Amino acid sequence: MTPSPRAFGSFIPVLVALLFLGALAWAKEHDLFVRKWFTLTTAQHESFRCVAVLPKPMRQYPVVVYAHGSGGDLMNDGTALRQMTELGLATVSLEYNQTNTSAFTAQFEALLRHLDQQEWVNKSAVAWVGFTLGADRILDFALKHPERQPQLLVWLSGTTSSKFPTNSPLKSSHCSVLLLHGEWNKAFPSVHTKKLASILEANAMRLDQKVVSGTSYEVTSERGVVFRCVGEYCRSHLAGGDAWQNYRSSAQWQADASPLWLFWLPAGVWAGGGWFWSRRRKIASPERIKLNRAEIALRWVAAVLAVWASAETAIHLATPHFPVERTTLSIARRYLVQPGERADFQYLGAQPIWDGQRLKTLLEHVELAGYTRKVVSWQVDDKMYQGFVLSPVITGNAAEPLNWRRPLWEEFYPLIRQTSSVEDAANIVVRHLRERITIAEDQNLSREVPTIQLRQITDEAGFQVIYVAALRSVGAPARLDVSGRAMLWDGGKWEAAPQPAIIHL
Amino acid sequence: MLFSLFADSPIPCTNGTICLTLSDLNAIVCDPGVQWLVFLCLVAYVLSFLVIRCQVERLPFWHATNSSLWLIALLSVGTFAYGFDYSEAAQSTRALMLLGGATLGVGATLKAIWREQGARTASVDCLIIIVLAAALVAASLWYPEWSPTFAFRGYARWTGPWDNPNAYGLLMGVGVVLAVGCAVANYEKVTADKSEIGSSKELGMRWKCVVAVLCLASVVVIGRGLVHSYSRGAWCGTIVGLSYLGTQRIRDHGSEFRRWIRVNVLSLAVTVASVLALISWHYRSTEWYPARRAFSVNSTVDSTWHDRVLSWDCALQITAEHPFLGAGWNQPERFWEQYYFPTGIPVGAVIGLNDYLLLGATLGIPALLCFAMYIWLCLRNAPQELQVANCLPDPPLPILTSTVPTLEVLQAICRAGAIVLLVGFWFNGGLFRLPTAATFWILIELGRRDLTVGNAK
Repeated sequence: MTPSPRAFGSFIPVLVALLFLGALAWAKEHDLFVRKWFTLTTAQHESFRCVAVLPKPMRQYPVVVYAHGSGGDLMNDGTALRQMTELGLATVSLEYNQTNTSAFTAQFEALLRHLDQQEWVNKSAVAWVGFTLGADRILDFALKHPERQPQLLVWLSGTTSSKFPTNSPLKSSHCSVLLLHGEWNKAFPSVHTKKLASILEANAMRLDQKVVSGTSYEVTSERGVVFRCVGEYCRSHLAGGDAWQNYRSSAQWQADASPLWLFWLPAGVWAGGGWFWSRRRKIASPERIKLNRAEIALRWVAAVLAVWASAETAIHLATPHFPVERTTLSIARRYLVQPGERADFQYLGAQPIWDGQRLKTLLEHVELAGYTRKVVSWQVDDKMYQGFVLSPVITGNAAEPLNWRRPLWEEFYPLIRQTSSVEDAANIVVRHLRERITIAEDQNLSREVPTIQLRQITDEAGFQVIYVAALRSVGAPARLDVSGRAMLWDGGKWEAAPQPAIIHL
Repeated sequence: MLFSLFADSPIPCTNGTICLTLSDLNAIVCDPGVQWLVFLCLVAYVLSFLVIRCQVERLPFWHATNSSLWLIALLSVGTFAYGFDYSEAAQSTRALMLLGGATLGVGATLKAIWREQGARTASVDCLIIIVLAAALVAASLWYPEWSPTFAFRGYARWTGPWDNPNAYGLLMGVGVVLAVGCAVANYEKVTADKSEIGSSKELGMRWKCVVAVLCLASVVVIGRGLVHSYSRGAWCGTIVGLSYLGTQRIRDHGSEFRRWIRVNVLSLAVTVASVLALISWHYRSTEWYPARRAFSVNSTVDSTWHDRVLSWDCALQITAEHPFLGAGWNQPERFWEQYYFPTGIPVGAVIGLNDYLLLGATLGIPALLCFAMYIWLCLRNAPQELQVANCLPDPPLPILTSTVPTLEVLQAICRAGAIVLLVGFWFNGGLFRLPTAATFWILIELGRRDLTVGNAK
């Protein structure tokens, strides 16, 4: 007897539903953030939308209230908010009235009142970050409402200072202020920022002023880096001296999240139960099937092919997990390495660096470096390629981990595949790297590439190490110079690789 | 139907009445000021069609096995979301495409049911399938233009009269399945006629032979387009569709063949899987592009899988945060990049590739459940169960006359075509684009038609 169609009919929908719900639960569990969309009403009964992006798990966090620039809206604030939330800050943005200052004041007051009632807000650690028009508005609000001032105010590319009267004293203020300004800001030259700084300093405000090199008024190209650095500045300022001791990166969070298969266990149990049930019903059946010769032959063919395919699959999937030895190298050379990659495999396998390393690491370096070399727009000669692209050795330390190529390649290769020169690729790499990695001054931070990637924090020397690795992962020849800075081969000579627009604020 | 198939094709249009009408229609559906009027008209049409069909079929409406009920529920949720946030929903034609496709599908089926009441022929179904297959043959002959946007290792992926090789590939996959199905159906009729009547139907038999040969020629022509689309989702969908068609035909064959398949299905599956595994390990770096493309799913340097899984993950996260009513029409794409997709990674074209997850993120889990139930009920539309639903006292399965198997075969062909698109919607999307959506709804509706309508009357 076979299962009835009706029983089979309910089996598959339940299985699909369990798989879907399992995937849904997994996605929610490993999601880095909680996003809360809410609508507030001002005293004048005007409603406006807000969004809060909170880190997990839910508890009290330092809060950043963000006011976007002219023409911005909540739908375009997400990237900036997440950049800062990844650093362990709760961030809030509001859809404010961009044409009416008094309407903004009412809205901002309503938002602050709302935040006062939230359990996740650490009321003694609040920062306001404003961008262009938003910077002007929050500075204006802070100066007019000194009793509501936050611990920190970040003024990013605003245009206010010309409107401030230089002779009349401002109301007392107690918050720290960071003025951040693009180097090539033609819309609002830095002389105006200096003027604003002098006014604020004259009114006893604690002031910090920084210029972002190589950027325009809206810091368009470096916006990711700027918001990362603003987030780092806020965290350092609001969380005090040990701000980075308990820092848990987003990569760490995702690495610690439960795997998908755990959430699919109910579906697996259901499928297993269904299979067991159908087998039992089959066994109970008195019907015996007599096979003819062709059918027996077919079963033999299937069995032989299955054994052959399993053996090949095992060679391809299991061998890379064994250590690099003469036997595994020989198997890899014969079965795993493509003909075009054998020379690179031979060269790299002969290096005395593989003691205790897994074959998988060696194969990844050969395969990914070879593939990237074929598809990027620039040419690298064999010697340069083997020494400074293919080679996994960056610092030359004996204990240097070598398994860094794949994660970096997966992250950086999609970003540079359209670029036409090594320099452009290096600019993209350094910008993206700085958006992901915090550069701190702590002496105890790891300088090993896999650890930096996981913890997303290192010191300046560590940053140069991962920078060289990232450049090599995208096929750009790179090395460290004697002072530990990243150097890039531009086709004719070694040059200092481009550095991030901001090391730290 | 033909209009819907080529509605969004970027064919250069010269002056003329048809072109002006097309551009006017396009302007109307894209204009938020008047789009709601079109939407309302479609709502009225689809509701009328569904009510009329329920009257004609005399099926119990408030019954969980009534697929129309689930379709109405899905469209109601979509309409509610559309009306609730019209300003956002009208920013694209996505809501309109879902409703428009469903209306076309239900309308086409209604016409077929009306025309065939009492006659028990499948002439309208057959006509629809032939017109669809002919249009797809014509589309497969479209001169390929080189576009750097859609290239595989420097080789242009064919897009036909559409702007996307995946949509082209999916429709070519549907064409292949329809043509194969028609060829098989004609061949079966030829063999049936031979055994029944001998030489008295010679002329008809010859005609059927010619049709079968024409269908096979169409398979070659459309298959060429399918291969050159380099759409792996379309290839996968076509294989699944053909397999479904095969199992449906085997079910209708003699008991000996069925027994052979049932006894040896495991051996056959193991053999096919083993051969595929061996080929993929040995020929993964082959220079034959179609094979290389097919085996690229096994490649460790193919980042499209990584991107796809990331986008599915984001869609699930949106659904998990808006489980009941979804984020609303057009909202997931905007949320996606700013609030969900990992920062700093280019979003690229992966957005919107999976229509099921996009539907869940847009309209919520209940809407996705309604769609899943509708599909499930359409595909499991076994005659025995429908007869139970019709409360017929003694199920008199029709004796296999010359016409009933044709209807049954046509339904199986339509379902197989719909399955190609259902698989494609997972990998490539298409439920919210008129050419693929209209084709899908027409095929699924034709495939689900109740075989016992004639008996019930």
